[in-house]
Amino acid sequence: MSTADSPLPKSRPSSEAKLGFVLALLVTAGLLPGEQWPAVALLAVVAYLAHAVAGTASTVLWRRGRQFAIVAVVMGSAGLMSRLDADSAVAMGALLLRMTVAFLAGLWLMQVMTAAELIRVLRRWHFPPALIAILSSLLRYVVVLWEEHERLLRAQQSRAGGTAAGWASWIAAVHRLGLLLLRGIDRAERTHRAMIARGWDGTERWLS
Amino acid sequence: MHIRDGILGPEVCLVGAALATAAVGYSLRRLRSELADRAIPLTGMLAAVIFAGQMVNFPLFGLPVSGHLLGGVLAAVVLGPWAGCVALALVLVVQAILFADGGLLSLGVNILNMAVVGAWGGGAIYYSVRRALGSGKQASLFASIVAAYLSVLLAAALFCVEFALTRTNAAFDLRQISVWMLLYHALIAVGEAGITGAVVAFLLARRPELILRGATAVEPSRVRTAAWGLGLAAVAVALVASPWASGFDDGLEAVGAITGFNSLGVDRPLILPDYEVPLPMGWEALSVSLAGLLGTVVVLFFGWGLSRWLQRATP
Repeated sequence: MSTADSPLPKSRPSSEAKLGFVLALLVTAGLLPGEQWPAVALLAVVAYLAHAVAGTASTVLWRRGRQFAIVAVVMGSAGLMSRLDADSAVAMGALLLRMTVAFLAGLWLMQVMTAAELIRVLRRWHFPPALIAILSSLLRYVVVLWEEHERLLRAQQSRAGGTAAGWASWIAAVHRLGLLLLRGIDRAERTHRAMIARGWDGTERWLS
Repeated sequence: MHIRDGILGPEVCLVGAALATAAVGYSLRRLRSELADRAIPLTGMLAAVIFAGQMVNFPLFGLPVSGHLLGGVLAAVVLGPWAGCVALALVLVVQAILFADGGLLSLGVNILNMAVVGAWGGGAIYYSVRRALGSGKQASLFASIVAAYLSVLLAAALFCVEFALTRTNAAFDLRQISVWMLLYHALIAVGEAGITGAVVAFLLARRPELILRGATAVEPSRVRTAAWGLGLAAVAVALVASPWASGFDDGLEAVGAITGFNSLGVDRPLILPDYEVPLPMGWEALSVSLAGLLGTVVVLFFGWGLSRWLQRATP
């Protein structure tokens, strides 16, 4: 089936534009020297405005911002502890500003890019079909396996009469992870047999 | 472990991306030749398991944080280094683009540090140790623990090199940052080794054929020779390298010297203060060498003891 006849939605140019916008922000922030920190701060404002346009929920910004702040504080402390002088402080300030631009840009991409869009963009950029097929498989089954994990967790809790603590919780987590791996491999074998039954010969084919 | 954008320069990210692309491309080629048409479902599922597995939190006793599996060595142990590298690389792509975990520009560097070093480097250590010690259950478990520990340290060391190559980071004392990074990751590596070892022990108890696939009987004399060789190499490194390492200031001590808080400390009797065994002659290099030797032996016993305990403790 040719691309023109495909019933599936076409790769929208906006997907590439989104990735391009983020990459442009990151490269510009990375290439600007430390003394040009007001320009980097301006890029952070642009990224923040992009969030405002995209309608990012303030709770998302707050939750992810807290995680980012911990990393930034640790990074800043480590840098300053390595050499406590004015040059190092300016360089660390510039680095933290660049990290802020990157954090806001990455979070914006997370808000506006879907998994299906990502796969379409990668196909348009001529990524190896096998890699895209594996990626599709990852995105398809990660939800299934996570639900499997939730079931295992509930089963463990119901057998133990509550949530495990201390060593028991560690051992329970190892058992869940091990079982998840075994069930994942078994499911992969079943999926492979089902693919063969449908005529799979190792060649990736796409509707469009 | 995920490097965020802004920390490394674009030129380092570009080189990292080129190296990562080459490594993942080679892995994909080897993967398809070895697993044939099973490559896609098996690797896709392994990637999904690693992705989900990274969300399983392991409580760190007494601390308000938790750890999780990184998965490079586990993937290499179960499906081999090629599938492990591809699976981890795709997990990192999804985490960077769809979950804003790790930088987009730093994606290549993250793939290099975690997927390539984790699966290739960890896999190489795992198979080397297993080849040397034999491919029985306990040797496989010990090899996976050692490989998981060293793969994290290798990734941290590689980050230090990348940080040093970024021209804008010249303002920092790179030696001190390296010391901090390696110390911090030495702790993370203990967690990774423990989780990987525990999961491998679980798999060895339930489905040993997954781990022992391709196992070959090794002559006992060769095993003994290899074990002695490995042990002597570790001891030699400790004896020769530790006096050199002792020349570096501890990161906290360096900060203390600058800020003056060293004077606030009160000396307490320690087991081996300043990594030195007290000798009557006062030979500093020899005393540090002996301390290094002691540390190496303790680590070897820890790895061996952990592997034996995990094997017995797993039902």
